Amino acid sequence: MSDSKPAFNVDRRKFLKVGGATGAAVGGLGMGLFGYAAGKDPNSYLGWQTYEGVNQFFNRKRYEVDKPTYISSGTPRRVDPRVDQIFERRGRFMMQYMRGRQQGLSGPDMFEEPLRSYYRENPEVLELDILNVEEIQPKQRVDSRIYGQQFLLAEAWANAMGAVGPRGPQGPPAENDFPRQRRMMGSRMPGGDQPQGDMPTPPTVRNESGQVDLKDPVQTARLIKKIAHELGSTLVGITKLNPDWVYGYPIRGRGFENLDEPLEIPEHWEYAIVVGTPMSWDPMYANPTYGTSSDAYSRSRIVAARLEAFIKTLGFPARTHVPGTSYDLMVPPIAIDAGLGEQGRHSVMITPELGSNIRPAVITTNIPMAVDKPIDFGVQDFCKHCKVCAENCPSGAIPMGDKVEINGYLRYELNQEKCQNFWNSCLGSMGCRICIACCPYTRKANWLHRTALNVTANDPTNISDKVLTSLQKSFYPGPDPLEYFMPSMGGSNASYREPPWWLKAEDFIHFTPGTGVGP
Amino acid sequence: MKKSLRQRPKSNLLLYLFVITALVLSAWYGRTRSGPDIWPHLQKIFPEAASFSVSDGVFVVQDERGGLLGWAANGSANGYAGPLQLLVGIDSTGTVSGTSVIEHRETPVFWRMVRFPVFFSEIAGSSFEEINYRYEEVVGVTGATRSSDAIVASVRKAVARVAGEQFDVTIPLPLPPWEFGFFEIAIMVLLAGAVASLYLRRPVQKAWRWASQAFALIVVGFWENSPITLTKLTGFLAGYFPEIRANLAIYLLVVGFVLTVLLFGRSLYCSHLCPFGAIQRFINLIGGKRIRLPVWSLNLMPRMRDLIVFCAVVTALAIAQPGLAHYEPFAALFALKGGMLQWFLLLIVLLLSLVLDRPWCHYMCPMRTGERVLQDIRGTITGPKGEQHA
Amino acid sequence: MSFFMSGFFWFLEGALFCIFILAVRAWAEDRSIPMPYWKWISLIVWVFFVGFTLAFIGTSFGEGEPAAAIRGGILFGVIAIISGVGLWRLLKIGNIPGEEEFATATEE
Ligand code: SF4
Ligand code: SF4
Repeated sequence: MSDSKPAFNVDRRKFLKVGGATGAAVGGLGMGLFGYAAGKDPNSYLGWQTYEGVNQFFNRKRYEVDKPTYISSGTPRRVDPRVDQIFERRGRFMMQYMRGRQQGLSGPDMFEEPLRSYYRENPEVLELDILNVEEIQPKQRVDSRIYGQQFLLAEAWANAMGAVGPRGPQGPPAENDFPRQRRMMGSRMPGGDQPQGDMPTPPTVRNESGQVDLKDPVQTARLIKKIAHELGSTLVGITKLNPDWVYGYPIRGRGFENLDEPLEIPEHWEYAIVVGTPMSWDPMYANPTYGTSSDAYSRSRIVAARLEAFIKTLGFPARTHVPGTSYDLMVPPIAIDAGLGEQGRHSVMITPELGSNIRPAVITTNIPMAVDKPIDFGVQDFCKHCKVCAENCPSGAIPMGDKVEINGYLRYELNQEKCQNFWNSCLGSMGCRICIACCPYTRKANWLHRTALNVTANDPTNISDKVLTSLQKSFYPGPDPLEYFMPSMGGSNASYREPPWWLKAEDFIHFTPGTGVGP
Repeated sequence: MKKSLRQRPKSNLLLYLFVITALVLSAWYGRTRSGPDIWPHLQKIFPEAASFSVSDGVFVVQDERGGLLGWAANGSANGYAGPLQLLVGIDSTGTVSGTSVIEHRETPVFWRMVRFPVFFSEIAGSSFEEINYRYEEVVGVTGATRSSDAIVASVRKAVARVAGEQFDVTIPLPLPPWEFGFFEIAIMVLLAGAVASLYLRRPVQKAWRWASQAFALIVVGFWENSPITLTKLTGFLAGYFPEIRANLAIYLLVVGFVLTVLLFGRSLYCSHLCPFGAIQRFINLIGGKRIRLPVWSLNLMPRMRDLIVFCAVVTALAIAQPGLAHYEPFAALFALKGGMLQWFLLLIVLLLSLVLDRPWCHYMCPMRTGERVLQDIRGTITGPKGEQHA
Repeated sequence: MSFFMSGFFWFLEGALFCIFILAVRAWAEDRSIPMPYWKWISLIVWVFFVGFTLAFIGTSFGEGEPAAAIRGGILFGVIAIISGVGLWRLLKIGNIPGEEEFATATEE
C-alpha cells in the first residue's frame, strides 16, 4: 500500500476482490461436483471392495455397553422351531395340510402335534398359513406367467449367486463339529504317524486332544477377526453363546435324527463368531422384485465354512449356522451380543456400517477368545420415532406400536406370517426386503449418511432423531406400498428404487408380445 | 396510502349466485355420484344372497328360497381425509359374518395398513359380546392410526344398528375423550390476546402481534403443523364435520377465523395465529425491503387467486375428495410433506417474502378468499358502514 | 478415484477459501466496514452451510435420489439465501455512512 504506486495498489485490491468472488463461485461448483462424485463413488458400496477389514470402520469402542440394548422382561423360553420358525412350521404344515384335506378334515385337527395345539392357540396363524397356499401362491404362479419376464435377469442373477455355497453341517454336533484326525504339515494330531529311526523329535504344538497351544485369547480374537475379513467377511464379532438363543429343538437338514427330541446344547458351543456380508446395494434398493438375498447368503456361507475349516485345522471344534435356513440357533440376537449392531423395529439387526443390509452367519466353537461388547448407538430411540419401515411394509407385518414381550424379551413383534405371505406373492427373485431398503440406516457409505449416522449416535436428546426422520420421509419417498403387490392383488410390481441397468431384462432380451415367461 | 390505490374488487350478487349454485351442484354431484352400489358388497359378505330389502336403514338379506341369511348395516365414520363407510354383515344368530369396505378416502399409506384381507377376517366370527373386546385387539393390530380408529368406529356403529333394530340389544357407542391440552389453551389465549390487543395503544399492539406470531410459528406451525387448510375448509363445506371432541383445535381456529372477520372486519387468525403468515413477516424482517408492486397486479392477483380457489373447491367437491383442493405449501414447510408443486410454491413464496410484504397472504392464500366472502356477509349485515374497517 | 474425492481437490478448495476470505477483508476495508470476530464466524458458518447445500445436491443426484436433491436443494437453499440476505445486512453494521451508496430502505 505504498503511496508511490497507487494505481497498482488499487488494481491489486480489485484483482483480489474479483479473484475472491470467482474463487467462491469455483469453490461452490467444486463442492457440488465433489458431492456428485461422492454420490457415485463405488467405494460407498460398502462390503464389496476389499478383504482387508477396513469396511468395519465404525469406532465401536465409544459406544460399547455392558448389556445389549434389548430388554429381558420375563422368563426366557427357547424357541421351538417346529412351530415358531416359519420355514420349519410351514414345511410341516404343507405335508399335513394336504393329507388332512384328502381326509376331509379342517381346522387344527388336520395337524399332528405340536402343530395341532399351536394352531389351536393361534387360529389367526393357521388362517394366514392357509391363505398362503390356497390363495397367494396360486395367484403368484398365474401372475408370474403373465408378468414375470420383466424380472428374468433378476432371477438369473439370484440363481447365479445361489449356485455356490456350502450347505452347512450334515451331522449332529458330536460327529460334525470336531476336526477329523489327519496328518498336517509341521505338526501331528495324536495317533498320527510316529517319528521313525533317528529323525529328530518335532516340537509339540498340540495337546492331547489335538488342539494347538494358543498364547493369548486377545491375540486369538484378533487373529480370528483378521482371518474372517480376509475370507471375505465385511463385519465380524465374537461373543459367548447365550443359551437362550439356541433353538429348543433341532431343525431339518442339519444331521439330527429325531427332530422332536429337544436339542441339548453341546459343551463346545461356548463362543459364537458372527460374520456377515451385505447384499449388493443396487438390487437391494430395487426390492422386492429385483433384489435377492442369495448373493449375501452365498458369501456369508462361504466365509463361515472357511472359518470353520480354519478353526478345525487348529484342532478346535466348530460348527456353522448359515443362511437361508441352516441354523440351530437364532442369529440376530447373537450378532447383537457380539457388538455388531442393534435390533430395529423391523426385527432385523441394524449395524452402523451396513444399516440393515447384512446377512450374518454364525460359527459356534470353543477356541478361547476375548469377546466383544454389545454396542448402543441410539437405534432404540431412533426406531421409536422413525417407523419408516412400518409405513412402507406392504404386508403390514411391522408394528407401529410399542415393544411387547416375546419369549421373555421386549421387542417389536413382527408378524412373520404376513411378511412371508407377501414374499410369496412377489414376482422376480422372490422375497421382499423393502424394510431393509427403506430403513434410514441402510445407506451407502458416503460423507452425507456417515455424518447423519454420527449425529444420531452421539445426540443424547432425541431432537436429531426427529429431524432426521422427517427429512428421511420427505427426501426419500418410495412408491405407495399398495403398488408393491402383484397385479392380481391390486398392485403394479413396483420396486422401492429403479433396478440397476444390468437387471433390466427388457433392455437385453427380446420378448415376443403376449408370451409371458413362466417361472 | 397504498390502500387508496387499490380498488377492492366489487362483489356483485350475480357472481355470488353463480358461485353458490356451482358449489351446491358440485357438492350434490359429488355425493350422489360416489353413492356406492351396495349389492356386490352384500354378496361378498353373504355369498348365497339372492335378494335384499331395506327396513329402517338395515339391509335384510335373503337366499334364493327367501330364507333369512342375516342383516347388514352401513357404518360410517370420519377418517383422516373424509368419510369411511363399511358394510357389516351379521348372521341370524347375531354373529358378525363379514365386513366390506364400501368407500374410503384415506390416503393410501393410511389405508394400506388396514387393507390386507386378514384384518377384516379378524372381525368376522365375533358375537356382540365379543365385539367390544375385539375392537381393542383390532386397534392393536393396525397400530391405532386415525384411519383405523375410523374403521373401528364404523364397524361399531353398524353393529350397534343391527343389534338395536333386530335384537333389541343396546351397544353403547362410547365417545372419544375431549382433546384439551396445552395446544387448545394456547389457541384460545392467542385469540383472546389478539382481540384484546385491538383496544390497546399502537406500539403495544404491534409488539403483541410479533410475540403472538413468534409463538404461533413454533406451536401452530412446527410443533403441531395444524394451520387451517383449504382441505379442512372444503371438508366443512362438504359437510364432513370431524368429531369435535378429538379435533377441538381445528374448530377453535376456524371459529376464531370466522368470528373475527364477522365482528372486526378482518381475520385475526391471519394476523396473529397463522404460522405461515408469521414466517413471511419474519423473513421480510430479515430482508428489510418492501417493493411496491404495480397497481394493476395488485388488482389482478387476488382475483386470480379467488378463481383458483373456486376451481379447486368445485373440483374437490365434485369428485368428493376434499384432499384434492390442497395446494398450500404449509405442510412442506412445517412437516416437510408435499408434492413438487408445494415445494416449488414454498421456494417462491419464502424468497419473495424477503422483498414483499406477505406475498402468500396477499396473493395466493385461500383464507383470503374466505375472508373476502365473510367480509361481504358482514357488509350486508352491517350496511356499507362496516366496510370501512376492511 | 475421482479427482473430486482426492486430497488435492481439498487443497484447492482450501486455497480458494483463503482467497475468498482475503477478498472479503479487502472489501470490508475499502468500505470501512468493521469486521469483529462474530461477523467472521457467522460468515464462515454461512459459507460452510452453502458448501454443504451444494454438496448435498450433488451427492443426492450422484446416488440416484433426485427427489432428495430437489427437496433438499429447496429447503437448504431457501435457508441459505434467507440467512445470506440477513448476513449481508448484518455485515454492514457499523458501516461509516456516506462512503458508499449502500444506504438501505429498511422498515421496522
Ligand atoms: S420383508 Fe417386506 S413384508 Fe416382510 S416385514 Fe419387511 S417390508 Fe414387510
Ligand atoms: S426404518 Fe426406522 S423404525 Fe424401521 S428399523 Fe429402520 S430405523 Fe427403525
